[in-house]
Amino acid sequence: MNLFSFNSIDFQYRQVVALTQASGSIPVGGITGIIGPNGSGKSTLLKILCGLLKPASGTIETQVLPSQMAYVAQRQTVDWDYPATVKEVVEMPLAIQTPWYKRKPQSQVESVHQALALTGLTDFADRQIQALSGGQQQRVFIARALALNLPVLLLDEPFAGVDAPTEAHLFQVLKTVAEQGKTVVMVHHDLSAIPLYFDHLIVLKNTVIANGPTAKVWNPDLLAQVFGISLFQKSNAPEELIP
Amino acid sequence: MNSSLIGVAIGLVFIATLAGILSVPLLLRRQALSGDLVAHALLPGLVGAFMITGIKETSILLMGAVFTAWIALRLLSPLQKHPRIKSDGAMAVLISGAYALGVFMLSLLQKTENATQAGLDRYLLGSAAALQWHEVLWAGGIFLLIVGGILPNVSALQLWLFDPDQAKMRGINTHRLERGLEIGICLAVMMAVQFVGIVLAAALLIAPALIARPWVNSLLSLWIGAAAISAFAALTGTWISFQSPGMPTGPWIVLSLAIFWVISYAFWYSKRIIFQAK
Repeated sequence: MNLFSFNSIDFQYRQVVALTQASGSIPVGGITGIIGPNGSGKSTLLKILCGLLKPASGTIETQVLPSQMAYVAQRQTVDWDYPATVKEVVEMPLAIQTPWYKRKPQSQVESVHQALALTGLTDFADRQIQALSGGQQQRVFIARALALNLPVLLLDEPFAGVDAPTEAHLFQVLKTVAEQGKTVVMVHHDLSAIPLYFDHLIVLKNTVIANGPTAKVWNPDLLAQVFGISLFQKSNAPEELIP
Repeated sequence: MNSSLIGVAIGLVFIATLAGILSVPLLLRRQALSGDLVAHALLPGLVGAFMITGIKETSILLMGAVFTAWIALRLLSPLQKHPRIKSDGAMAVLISGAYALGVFMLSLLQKTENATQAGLDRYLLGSAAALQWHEVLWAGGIFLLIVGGILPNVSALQLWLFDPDQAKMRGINTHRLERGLEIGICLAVMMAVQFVGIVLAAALLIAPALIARPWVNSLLSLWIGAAAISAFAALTGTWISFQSPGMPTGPWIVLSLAIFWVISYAFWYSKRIIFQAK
């Protein structure tokens, strides 16, 4: 069963075309990767799926409402010079469910506590967010999404600026989430991890080049077609070709 | 202590506290100059309302003023979002353009109806000493209206100010918050210009949050800090101006804020230097 099916989606930012006639689907459950070179429309597709952007044309069918999706944006999208602690940021989306004159429910406190523990942020809970490193900020965003405990998790480059051990740990967390029957959709740029990370793939280059189970879709020819490089020559490739 | 001093002090504390509260979202959204734009864009509306109606009644003039100020604010956001237009440039052109239009309309009025134009000058420089009790009540009413609008939405505002996309995802009506903030700013500036004048009104919507920011760790404390500093500056300004005759209240309030800002940052820097030296 598909969680999302999108058909002939077009989207452009003023003069720049992000997506043309993009069609594909994302199944319920598992981890789906959205991959492609820089500027191929990955983040745009993710934002369209969660309803933050409206496509100029095309249709999207989905089983879930936006309120049931947790969205993790790239950390550069916000100004971290904001007066709040790590715990407060993780609490924010939950806090809007409680009227201002009421105490926050115990379940909310527990969700936040758990999310902080899962992302290794417990020791940083009371730290001001402006004093965090890039990797820690990324973890705050993931913790905030986990605390919501929703059936669909959409993440835009969640491992950007995160060191390798943290990435391995966070991936394990997302894998556990997927094993609980939830759906994880993730924009990702590191090609080497793709067969390891994803059950399903959407390969983009302003339109959907390939879509399906990773085992079927992922092959060296596709890589050459989309990225203009061979996986085996990756280390020799010019920097700008490695997305 | 005479009753006019008390009236002026209460009215100005209401207005300054309100401006202090609104300075927080403006600072966090990096829209500090929106207050300046609103203040300058009030002028053409003010003069226009008088030209059309011919009545020099404060409420009618201010309705015209808020109308043009709101239009200027609405013009600003698409201009700022346009990739080819630099947002500080757009702001500068709108601020001076609106003010120039206002001054031009004032001079037109001067040619036709000499005597009646004089009252409109009040808004250019403001006159806090002329504050009357019914205006104090107005200020109090608007204060309650805006605080009453903010309180039930504190959590939503907190999320929206930090991460607007996330706020949208969580079902918050971000358009409503944005329009609400715009209306709040228009009302606050409208009250402020009468007493401190068009040019100085913006300072009330910038300085309080800026002064409080280095010392606070949460949005709530930033709000309380900015409101308290602003109210204190209003009292200081009123007290100084009533001590010596001829001293203008508005400029003294703004000057107090500027002095507080210097002190705040001087202390903050010295604290950092001492902290790092240890």
